[in-house]
Amino acid sequence: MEEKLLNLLADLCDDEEVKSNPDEDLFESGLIDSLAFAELLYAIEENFGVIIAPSEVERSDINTANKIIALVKERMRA
Amino acid sequence: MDNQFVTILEKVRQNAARWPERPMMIEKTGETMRSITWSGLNDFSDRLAYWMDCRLETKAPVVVYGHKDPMMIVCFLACVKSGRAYCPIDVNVPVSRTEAIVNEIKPEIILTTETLEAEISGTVVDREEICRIASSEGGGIPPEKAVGPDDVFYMIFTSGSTGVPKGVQITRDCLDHFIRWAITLGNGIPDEAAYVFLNQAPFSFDLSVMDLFLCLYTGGTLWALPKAVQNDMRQLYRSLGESNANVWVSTPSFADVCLADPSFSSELMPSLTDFLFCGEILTNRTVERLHKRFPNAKVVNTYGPTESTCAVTEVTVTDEINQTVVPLPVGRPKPGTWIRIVDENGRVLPEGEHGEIVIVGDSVSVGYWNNEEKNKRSFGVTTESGAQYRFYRTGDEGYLVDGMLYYGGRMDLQVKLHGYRIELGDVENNFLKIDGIEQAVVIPKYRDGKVSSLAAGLVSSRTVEDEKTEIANIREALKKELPEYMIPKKIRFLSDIPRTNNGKIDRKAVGELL
Repeated sequence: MEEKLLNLLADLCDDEEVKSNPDEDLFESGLIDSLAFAELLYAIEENFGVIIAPSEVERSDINTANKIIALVKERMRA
Repeated sequence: MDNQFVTILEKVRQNAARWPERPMMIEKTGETMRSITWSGLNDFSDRLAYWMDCRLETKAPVVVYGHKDPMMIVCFLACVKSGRAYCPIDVNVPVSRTEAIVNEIKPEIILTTETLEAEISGTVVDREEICRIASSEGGGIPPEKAVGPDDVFYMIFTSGSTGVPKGVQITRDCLDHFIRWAITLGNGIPDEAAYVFLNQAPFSFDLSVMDLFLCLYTGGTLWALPKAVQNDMRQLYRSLGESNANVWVSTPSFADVCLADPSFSSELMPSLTDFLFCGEILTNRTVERLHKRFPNAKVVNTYGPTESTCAVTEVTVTDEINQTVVPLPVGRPKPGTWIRIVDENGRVLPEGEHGEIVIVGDSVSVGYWNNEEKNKRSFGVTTESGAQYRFYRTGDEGYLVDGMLYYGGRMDLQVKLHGYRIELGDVENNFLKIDGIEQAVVIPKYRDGKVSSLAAGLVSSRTVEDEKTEIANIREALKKELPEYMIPKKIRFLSDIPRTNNGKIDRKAVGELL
């Protein structure tokens, strides 16, 4: 699941670097913008059945690959 | 123009007289709200126009600088009421680009609603001064002073391949022809509907012409989404709910951003009847999701470059069209516009064949500001239905099926990203201005047949030791020159740029490296 999510992210960022650096701030580094972020949430819903509404999470809770993985895992368990 | 049609400036006056207390524009960020009524808009712009008429020596276009302050609209109208074109520049345009535009126009004055820190010629009139003039006693302006049918009404700058932006001049007639058609889009906008129009685009992006002028023409209210609200998802959904908007105008990308939240539906926006899209490719997926979330709203796709006043073709995308036609069409031309598909020699091609889209008609720009060379290449005059019309070579590829236009992408090095037109050469030239960069190639990356981001391959004139830091520095340097949307997401150093046999840059090969 982690790998699949990282691949999704790399695809949306148009950059493989997220895989080697999963703690990098995706917004600050310019790797992800609000549209790519919206696409990511859509892809997460389609692939993992987890719905994350952007209005219910703070950006600082989901700004790195590792934080996104942790959040999806948590929601899948719930 | 036919007799029944009331021109835009006359209509603004009528609307202000009929509904003086109705809000014309509302801008809300957090708890701070700025708004203006219809009578306020009309009176303020009259007084500011009177002041301009008395004080200014030339009829040079006036730059209006700011973001989504309702005073922006006062400034726009004041300019045209005093017989001058306005040129909007958004605060998010970088300083150097603002300077380049101002240098091109050489305006006598610059009206600002936000602080402008740039080295420019021309007198800056700040918000405080504008408000003082606008609220002083007396000072009407006779309608004869206003811009005439063939005068330039507004000028909007677009990316130019050499790095210098081009000013597209739109006359009052172009705008009136556009409006007369735009009020019929989707469900149509009845004259006394008092609709609320959503404004997403900055005023320096000509997509905003759709919401602003539909609103001004039909006496509605413009609900502006400032950048701070668009960047904060919680505020954004709150604002959308509060807007009570009837007509949605945005790029498809912005709708995609909003669709990320399950709360974005007809429950949040129960009054919404029409989605009007322009500026980039609308995908079947976006329409499918909108139809589900807003079962009672019409989704309208339109197409048109800044050079032909916002949009010239339209189609309402029904469930049936969305399920059977991939990719979606961009529509049929408005009355007074003809679409020709031509080959490289300018010969008109039969239906179904791919070629360059040429727009002929009554909303085609009179040309770029002060740019004879580009005008000769892109604009001309031709005969259609027994009358003379201007035409514009779009550089877009397309084809017609039963009179319905399909868009096939750019023919040159221009791309559309999130609705913004970007000349790759413009980005490349700005890379080359940075010390230590010898060569630069910028290429688009695609997802779902749509440009999703830009990537850049650079050749350094010295040995690169710490690639990460260097690239971060380059990114910072570029941010001072270019708007955010033009900065490539991925930047990499290459040892050299791949070339084709005849020595041209091999863009495909560069793409594979990035």
